[in-house]
Amino acid sequence: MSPKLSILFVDDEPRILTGLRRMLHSMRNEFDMSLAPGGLEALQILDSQTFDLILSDMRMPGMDGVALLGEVRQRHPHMIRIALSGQASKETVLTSVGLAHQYLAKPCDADGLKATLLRLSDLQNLVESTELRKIIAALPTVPALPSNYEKLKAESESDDPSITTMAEIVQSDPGLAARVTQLVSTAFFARPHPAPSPYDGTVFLGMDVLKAIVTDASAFTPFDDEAVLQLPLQVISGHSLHVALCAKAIAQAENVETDLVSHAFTAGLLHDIGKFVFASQFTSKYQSLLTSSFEAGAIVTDRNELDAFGATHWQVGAFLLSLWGLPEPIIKAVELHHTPKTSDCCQFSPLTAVHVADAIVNEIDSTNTSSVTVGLDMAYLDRSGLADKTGLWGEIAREALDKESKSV
Amino acid sequence: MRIVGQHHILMVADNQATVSLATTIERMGMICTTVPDNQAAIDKMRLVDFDVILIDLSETHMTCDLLVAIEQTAIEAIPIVLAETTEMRGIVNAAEFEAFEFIVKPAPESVVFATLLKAVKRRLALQNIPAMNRLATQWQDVFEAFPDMIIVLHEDGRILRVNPAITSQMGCTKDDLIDQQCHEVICGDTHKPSQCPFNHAGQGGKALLTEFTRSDWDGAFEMASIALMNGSENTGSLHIIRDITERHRAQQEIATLAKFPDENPNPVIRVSATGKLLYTNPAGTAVLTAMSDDSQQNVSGRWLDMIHTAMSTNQSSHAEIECAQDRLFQLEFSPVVEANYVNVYGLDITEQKQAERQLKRADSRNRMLLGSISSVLIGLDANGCVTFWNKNAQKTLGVSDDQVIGKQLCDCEVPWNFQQISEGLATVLTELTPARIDDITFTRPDNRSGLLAITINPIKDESSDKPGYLILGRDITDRKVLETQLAQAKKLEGIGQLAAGIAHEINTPMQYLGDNTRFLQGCFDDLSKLLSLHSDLLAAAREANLKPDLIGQLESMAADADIEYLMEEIPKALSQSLDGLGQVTRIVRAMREFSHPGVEEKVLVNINEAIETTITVCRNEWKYVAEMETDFQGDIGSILCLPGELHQVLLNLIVNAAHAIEDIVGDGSGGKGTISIQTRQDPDWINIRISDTGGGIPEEIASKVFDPFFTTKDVGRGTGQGLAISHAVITEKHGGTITFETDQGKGTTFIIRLPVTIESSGSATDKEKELTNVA
Repeated sequence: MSPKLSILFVDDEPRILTGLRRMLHSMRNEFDMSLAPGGLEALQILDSQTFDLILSDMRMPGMDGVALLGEVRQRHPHMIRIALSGQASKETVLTSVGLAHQYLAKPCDADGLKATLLRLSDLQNLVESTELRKIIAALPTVPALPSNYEKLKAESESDDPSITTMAEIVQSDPGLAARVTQLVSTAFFARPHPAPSPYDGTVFLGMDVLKAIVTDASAFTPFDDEAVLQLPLQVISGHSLHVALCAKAIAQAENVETDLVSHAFTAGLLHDIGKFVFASQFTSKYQSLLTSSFEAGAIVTDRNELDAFGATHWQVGAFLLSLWGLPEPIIKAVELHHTPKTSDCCQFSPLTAVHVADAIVNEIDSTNTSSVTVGLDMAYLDRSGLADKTGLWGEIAREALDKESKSV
Repeated sequence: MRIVGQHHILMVADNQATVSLATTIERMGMICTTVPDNQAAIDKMRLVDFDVILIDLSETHMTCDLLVAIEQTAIEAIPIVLAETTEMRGIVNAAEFEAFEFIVKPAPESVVFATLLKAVKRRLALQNIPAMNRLATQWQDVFEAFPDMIIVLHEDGRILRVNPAITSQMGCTKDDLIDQQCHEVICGDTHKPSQCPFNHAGQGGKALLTEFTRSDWDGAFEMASIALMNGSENTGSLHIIRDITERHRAQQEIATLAKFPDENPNPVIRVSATGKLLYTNPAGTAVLTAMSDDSQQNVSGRWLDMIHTAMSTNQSSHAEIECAQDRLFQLEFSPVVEANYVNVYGLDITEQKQAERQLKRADSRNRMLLGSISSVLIGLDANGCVTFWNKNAQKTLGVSDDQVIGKQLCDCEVPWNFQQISEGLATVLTELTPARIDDITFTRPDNRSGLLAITINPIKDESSDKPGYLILGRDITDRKVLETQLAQAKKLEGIGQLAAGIAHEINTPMQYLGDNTRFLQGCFDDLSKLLSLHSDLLAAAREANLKPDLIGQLESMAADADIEYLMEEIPKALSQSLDGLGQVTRIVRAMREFSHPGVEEKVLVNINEAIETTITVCRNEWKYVAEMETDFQGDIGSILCLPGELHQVLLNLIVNAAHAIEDIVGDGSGGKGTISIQTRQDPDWINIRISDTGGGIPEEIASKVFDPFFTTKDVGRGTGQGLAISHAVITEKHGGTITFETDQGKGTTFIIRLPVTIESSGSATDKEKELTNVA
């Protein structure tokens, strides 16, 4: 059993604090709770005691939520930062993009809050290294490919910017797509149904929001370091987009709910996002790992990543996206796309789509055939009764990629 | 009706926009001279007699100086001043000179031209009054040297001033006359004071002309009497007496001449019924040459026909005849049937005809000009008949000029609400000042309904005592629609901002209501399990079958449920939840009170409650920066108000107070400020004082805070409309006042005073009057 999650609640309304504590009283074995009536008091408490998570009101007299979370990110970078605010406006979110990992709106539903806290409590098991957890928690954003970022910026600054053009750019870039999906998942917005793809999410956020955050470095930022740009970011990004397209095509062919189709796409696009975290945070280490594998004629394995960083790219990806409050099916697909059999689910899910699409795209890229021979977790597929579908899915995936290459 | 003639305009302007109007003014058929400053203007005025001086100078004091110079040098030109509203106040105050026209900038060209036309007209009217009144009182030299006798009287009949002409006529000195009663020293005992001719003077700036003869002065005299006014107050009279003995003599001479045709400078010819020349005077030779045969003994051609017709009908007839050297004569054929001849009297009308032709030319040019003006322009004569109906009137109203010209306006089939126009015409007729009507409903040519804004100007109609009218109008439908949409959008924006704040106010109690309820639900589960074990325990006890494990189970369950904690927290959770419910209820009730949807009439409103409601609704706007202190007089009665608008005013003032405090205390981390609201009632008024502990209003902007669009706030925090709207709501719709006291660095107090008896009808009339006055 994981250690208790220690939480600091901050609000200028004492009745909110006592209410939260009462509501979570039944979870007293899972959570340690402390209360602070304001930003300054919260910082004082944090100076003397370590907490895993801070959940703060945004509008408070004296030090407000934005200032408090900014201080916390700097002084206690390992902490998970959640905003709980009654100021339900896009503007409020915009001031705290990158500061809060998640945004909850007052009044928040008790079961939802409990579930969120429990999921975050489990996270500590996913990435064991405290140091790595600290780095990911302090990360304001995952950088975008410079070319995509520039295109997005240029479009937003053009005389007649088009939201659909911007949406197309976002859905081809894991870094941009992760941010948009995080914003769309926040409880501050009236969340659209069905769950939107990065494309629909961009259109949903709208031109005003996009324009406001596109130059905000804590919202979007490009890879801009010389050394980072030596890394094969384009390859990783291209692979991610292919997997996303194939996963979406496969999910569509399975006739699943629209939610799952867009989750399959998003998860495909984000399944390797951990590699971008390595690239931006451990540039030289990642460079040498890639170089040594290349020279040995081998691919980078999970073991290599564990040895180098203390976690695999899928662990880091799942950790980051959980922190950011992305929908559960996406996180599961990212976390388990190499080892779907460890999932306790036996139905077709975004995980199935991403796992199969990943294997097919790798196969096509290396052998230029769509008959998948390696990389598929047959035990998982057998268990799910989907093993005989692989041939058909291979065809569907190839068609999707052909269509894509023609349109480009 | 003469609207525009060959008039001379002097433009004193230092900005290009106005200077560029000169070309258009020239095109209107006026002469326009442009100068950039006062010195050049004064130089020009010495040389040319201008009708109108159009002044648009960026420096207010220059404008004032120029007005004073025009006034002091007795220049007859009508000044027109173009200036911004705020400058205009300064000019009106500083110049103490009411005789100028003014145009508030920014103004469309049509307003400038309408004012120009009006000024020109006034100038024409001025020329009809003997100008001597101003000369005599203001220009000592002229007064002294004036050949006619001048007497200035106080209203009580005392003589204030006389000129040398009168002392020499009377054969006395000034001192004999000054301060004496006029009817005693000048009229002698022959007149009682009431019958003294000097007791009568013309009204309204018009001269009263009287003639009298005096044997002791040896002659006939004509006296022009004018009332001297100071504003509307009668201060006395001025009389100019001219010796018209000579004129009388000349008139008699002319009468005599008629008896002796030979000496008559006009043609006189006598022709027999058969056309034979009987007599001509020397002046008649030229006419005779033109109307007779070569022998000059017989009238020929159509002239012979004229003679025959005159004889047979025994009626005079007229004709024109062109003679040598392009002279034109008018002839009157006057038959004397019993003597069997016709007298032909001629009159040289060459000059008159030329003038008429010129006038006609000028008139057609004016019509072209008026026709092309982009406003609706309608001319009416004194009888209300349409004399002019420009192109734009045809286009806007869909009625062509030939359908209306010459008809009474009320008989014209124009698709507008004539009732409103007829009322306006009546007002203009009685008050002789322009009237503005802003919302005349009419049907546009495309059958949609529209709104017309018109100004009715009285204009002098030379053929009548009553004025004619110039109606200048514009289709303002599109503008009105835009304005309405804008107002609606502004209102929605305000509601939207407030709604976000209210949502936050409600979300806070909702959060802990939810949490507490969820907690109580869990408590109940635990407690009901405990209760059922207690029942078991009770049953066992009743049967005297108590087993230790039952007690142990109960104890461990009580420990699991943290029963002590529950006993302590449940009552708190319940009481806090009830607080929260109360708060939400209060906010929801305040929201309903605040907006008063659908109430557009005045209803009884308790001012204290209205303030409470507003404080609640906007709590989120002030609570982070200020404490709220209220001090209400408890027994204030309800008064008739427009609740929605009154709330809006209170909201504006409270939010402004919060903003003023926020500017001082920042985010509130260094302590909050205070907003205090007090109500008091004296017998007739309810006083509301809203005070803040902000920085106060700087002196230099204090005069502008109620101006529309004036704001010191950052974009997005205020449109600058709040206080202007508040002012309008309080003063115009409720007959109250709104003022403020401010103390630099200490804060500001806005004071609203509402009369206890507010008229129940909404009143837009004051606003309309204000607009009319500006126009």
